Amino acid sequence: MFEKEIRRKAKELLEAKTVDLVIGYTSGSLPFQARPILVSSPEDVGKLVWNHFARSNLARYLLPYRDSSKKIALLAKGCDARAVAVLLQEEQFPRERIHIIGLPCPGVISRRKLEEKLGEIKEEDFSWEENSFLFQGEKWEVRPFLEDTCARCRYPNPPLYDELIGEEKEPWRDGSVDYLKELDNQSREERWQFFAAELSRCIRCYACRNACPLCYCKECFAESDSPRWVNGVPTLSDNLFFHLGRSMHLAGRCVECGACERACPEEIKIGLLPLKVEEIVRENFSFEAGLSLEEEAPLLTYKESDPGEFIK
Amino acid sequence: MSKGLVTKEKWWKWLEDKKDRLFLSERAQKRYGSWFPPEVKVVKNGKEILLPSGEEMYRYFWAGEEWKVEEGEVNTAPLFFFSLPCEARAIIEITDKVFLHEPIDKNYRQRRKSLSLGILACLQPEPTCFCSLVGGGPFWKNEEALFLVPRKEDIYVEGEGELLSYSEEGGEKVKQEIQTLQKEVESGLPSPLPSYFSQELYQHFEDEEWDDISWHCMNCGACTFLCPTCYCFDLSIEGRLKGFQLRSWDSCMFPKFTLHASFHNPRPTGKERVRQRVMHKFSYFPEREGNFACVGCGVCVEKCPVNWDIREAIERMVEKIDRLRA
Ligand code: SF4
Ligand code: SF4
Ligand code: SF4
Ligand code: SF4
Ligand code: SF4
Repeated sequence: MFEKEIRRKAKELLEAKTVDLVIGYTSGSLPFQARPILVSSPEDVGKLVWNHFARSNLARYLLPYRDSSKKIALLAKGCDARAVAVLLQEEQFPRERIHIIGLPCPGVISRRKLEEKLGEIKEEDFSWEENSFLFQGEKWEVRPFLEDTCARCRYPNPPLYDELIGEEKEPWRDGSVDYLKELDNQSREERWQFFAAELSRCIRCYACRNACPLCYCKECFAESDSPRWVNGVPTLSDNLFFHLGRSMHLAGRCVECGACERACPEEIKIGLLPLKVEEIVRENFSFEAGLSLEEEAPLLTYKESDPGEFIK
Repeated sequence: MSKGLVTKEKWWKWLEDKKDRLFLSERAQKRYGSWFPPEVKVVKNGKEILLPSGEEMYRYFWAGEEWKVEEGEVNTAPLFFFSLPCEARAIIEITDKVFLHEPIDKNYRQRRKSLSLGILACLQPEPTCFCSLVGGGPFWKNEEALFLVPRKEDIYVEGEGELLSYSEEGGEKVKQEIQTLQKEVESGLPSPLPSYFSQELYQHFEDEEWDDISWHCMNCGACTFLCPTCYCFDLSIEGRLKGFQLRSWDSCMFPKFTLHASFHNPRPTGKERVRQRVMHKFSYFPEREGNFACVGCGVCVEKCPVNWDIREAIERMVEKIDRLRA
């Protein structure tokens, strides 16, 4: 899937010294994994891969370079590019330091879903095509195997890029599969049961937070000693407090990438909380984060003309 | 130590009065769940029993003129924990050495005293497993623990105690069968790291390779919290005039782990933290205690959200060391 073009582009950028570093994906030590990689030499561009297993949001790998002067090229799916846009808007980087190689996203596939349907799987049994794949010769649509977070994606195409590799894609989302909507249709009691069960399993490893490109506080409230909001024990109440707090901190900033959920080692449906908050922001402020550099983020903007009395 | 075969029937009879005191590791449950009653408590690993993620060490209150302190309570009822060899080894060869050597941790000791271990032979090493690289193996056993090989209709048992009195002599044939099985399972597994590894690894503390090795790790706590050997904890006082001292898990991956009161942090970035995780397990601990502080269970490899693989870090360092020795 466009790997050749990606490698050629990366090489060109590094050779011309347009950028110092390229951040992309490479194949991992386990099958069905594409892990983040830093490429700093044109000789290494052959390591770059691009497939359905690019689970991470690469924008989070920009963050350690905030205080450097390095110019960085980033391979960006729709949601990665949106996250970059938010980082730029929040003045974490000057625009000229980030070179966005946009990649229309084919959707991230859940390995668990593959295994559930197909049984034991090996990489060599698959051959991938546009929107479908062959498994041991049999054809399957990609769609039912998408991660829950990707099945509801509105923006597979990067809204912001310096160049685009590949054809723009139709969003997968058609409203028929949306795990957030399923939850909306439940009663409060059912929802409480659901979240209490999920969050009781949370070990507070913070993989969700650390995978999030927009959780970049120097000191997260979860680790603050004064004031101390939560202690280190993963009890349901502190887990709930952490995750609700985190979701609120992302209100109007979360780009709905689902990287938090895909990072969770306990497979907790933790993306639901920030995703729900974004639904509310969309409904109330007609705003979606990271779609443009110009549109003001409603929750980060103060106006004297604000219609809300409480804020004036 | 004796050996023998325990029939299914007798096994269940032996379990009869232990049902509410049985623990089984998640990974052992996947393979051997049907050998245990539904009441069995499934835990991630031995840490959940011996080093709970939160524990009140003592309670205190200000009684007007002086502080009153009450020690926390620790379970002393006898418990049984069945797990895979790597998971048992994490207790016997790692956490025991940390908490039972001076200074002894009283709470750990009390819990440990009442815990009997059962090791279930590992017949299907997973793609992430590397126990044989770090001195263990799918048939690793220890004299303090029961060693069990569940078969179709019976369980082959080695050890001491009540269960053995239920067993029958298996004879030469069974001995042969078990040996063949062990050979089969062990074939193709990696051979142990060279004995000089832990010492030489430390010589590479300043190696620039660590930048690249650590680059894609996000410094979360998934690997350390889920690791059966990672034992680091934090102590905090919860409350003012009345409260308790809390022990909770901590992780060398977290920025606060080494933050000094002066705000200096000797491990300011991910590189130092990842290096610490590897060095502690593969250099500092073995230099002190004689074995690695990693049992090669592969859980961290399987659970890492970005496929950071400790085996690759080790491999890269082995290559470096061997290149320099050659
Ligand atoms: S990644 Fe999962 S287990 Fe870890 S803190 Fe987040 S929700 Fe909890
Ligand atoms: S909260 Fe989750 S979905 Fe939102 S930007 Fe962060 S990682 Fe992506
Ligand atoms: S949860 Fe909140 S405080 Fe913590 S890193 Fe994210 S935005 Fe910052
Ligand atoms: S190795 Fe993986 S699980 Fe461990 S801290 Fe790094 S990202 Fe998290
Ligand atoms: S393989 Fe990983 S999880 Fe297992 S003992 Fe070693 S470091 Fe810990």
